[in-house]
Amino acid sequence: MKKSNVKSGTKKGNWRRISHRWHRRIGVFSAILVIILAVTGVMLSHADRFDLYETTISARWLPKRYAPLPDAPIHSFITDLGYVVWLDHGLYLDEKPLDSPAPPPVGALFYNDMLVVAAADNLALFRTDGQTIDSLGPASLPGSIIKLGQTTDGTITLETDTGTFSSTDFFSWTAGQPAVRWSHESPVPPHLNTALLNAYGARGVPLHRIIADLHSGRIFGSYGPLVMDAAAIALLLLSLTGLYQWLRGKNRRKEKSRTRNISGPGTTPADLAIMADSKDSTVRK
Amino acid sequence: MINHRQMIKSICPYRIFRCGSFAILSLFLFTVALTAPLTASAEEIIEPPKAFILRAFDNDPPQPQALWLTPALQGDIVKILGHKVKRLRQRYWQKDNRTVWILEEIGKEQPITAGFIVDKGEIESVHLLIYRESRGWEIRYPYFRRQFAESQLDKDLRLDKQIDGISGATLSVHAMERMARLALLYHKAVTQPESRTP
Repeated sequence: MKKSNVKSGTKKGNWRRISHRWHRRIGVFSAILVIILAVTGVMLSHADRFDLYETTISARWLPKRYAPLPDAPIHSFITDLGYVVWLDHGLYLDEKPLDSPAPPPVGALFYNDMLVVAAADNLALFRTDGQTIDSLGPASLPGSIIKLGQTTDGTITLETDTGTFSSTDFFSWTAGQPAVRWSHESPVPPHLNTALLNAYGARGVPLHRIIADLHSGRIFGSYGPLVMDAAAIALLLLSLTGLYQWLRGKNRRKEKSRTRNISGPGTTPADLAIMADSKDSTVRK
Repeated sequence: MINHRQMIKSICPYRIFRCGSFAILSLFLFTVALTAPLTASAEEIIEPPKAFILRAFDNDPPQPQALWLTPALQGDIVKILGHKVKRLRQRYWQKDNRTVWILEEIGKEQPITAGFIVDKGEIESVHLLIYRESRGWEIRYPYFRRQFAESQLDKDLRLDKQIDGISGATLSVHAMERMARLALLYHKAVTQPESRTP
């Protein structure tokens, strides 16, 4: 009886089967993502209770794409104060992190109790304790910096794409071609390299940020948020197909109980099928 | 006579590639591959900062000066931004009572660079210079930026004018509003000599 119904199948029956099949498929496909969404959502709602702001996770335990561990320092310059090293958008004076993130430097030197670090479109001035004094952007520079140096009389000099300029106060720049000792890259000694990597790994990432990025999918890279969007759409489809099946099941239960009331003790299953078909055709009319 | 199931089976002999889940997964991956480049953020220079400074002073800009961010001033900055500015001094350009500021503040994830011209304690104009966020770029349009004109700072360090938001750019709008308040605060600090310390 059931088999013959499946074969002949009314439109409603087809929709129910399709809905049921896709409900299961979407459920299986999105299960893991929906679990991640639900668990991380609850954790973020109770961030204080879970100490998410205070807890930090070492960068070593995180996926490399999320918190990339550098293989080696990329740029390093020796100054009178120590090594200035650029490591994954962070500046270090020896192994001590400096205050602000920075673009890759082209030169660094110690000048008038200040650490001067030059990048292509930025000249940053730091105190010896690592605090940023000033950060000169393109509007305050005579051009895009190629080299940073110092003259014998102690004037800061920049070689830029528009010429060579000198200054004593970092406000006014004078064009000229003085004798300059330029800052050059010099590799860090092995012991400092190890200390730097330890300092870098020890920085850690707040657990709240990791959970938030897991919730939004950003932890999986640039495609992650789209995968989480897909999970959210899957949740919506699950709700719709589930609701549809529930409504259908409710109608069927009503029909069954009504049929049970109408049919007497001698009614056969074939009679019930004929009764159901005639009811469907009446509804369609 | 071959029915459609047998036809599919002959085209695709492996069961895994015929199931619905595989179809959904393929569809998702295809959509992701198509739309992913749209979400990537990139730095867009709307007006180079140097060009902005030249334009602000009709190609005759004064020498830049520095405002020292004293602890008292940092206290007011925290009230506006919710955090300290991580530097000891802020550059600005001044001619008479007119000051020009280039400020940076994070919208959602990336810093927004904007220029502010302040004249006699009220905003003359606001300019978006560099935008790095993946969405919210509507703040570049003049109809949004014009709202800041003639706004002043009240005693609670808020703008005395209501700035209408843009749906989808809420965080960028808030960042611009915070920077406008900061520019007015800085302007007030430089026009009062006691705020400046060497």
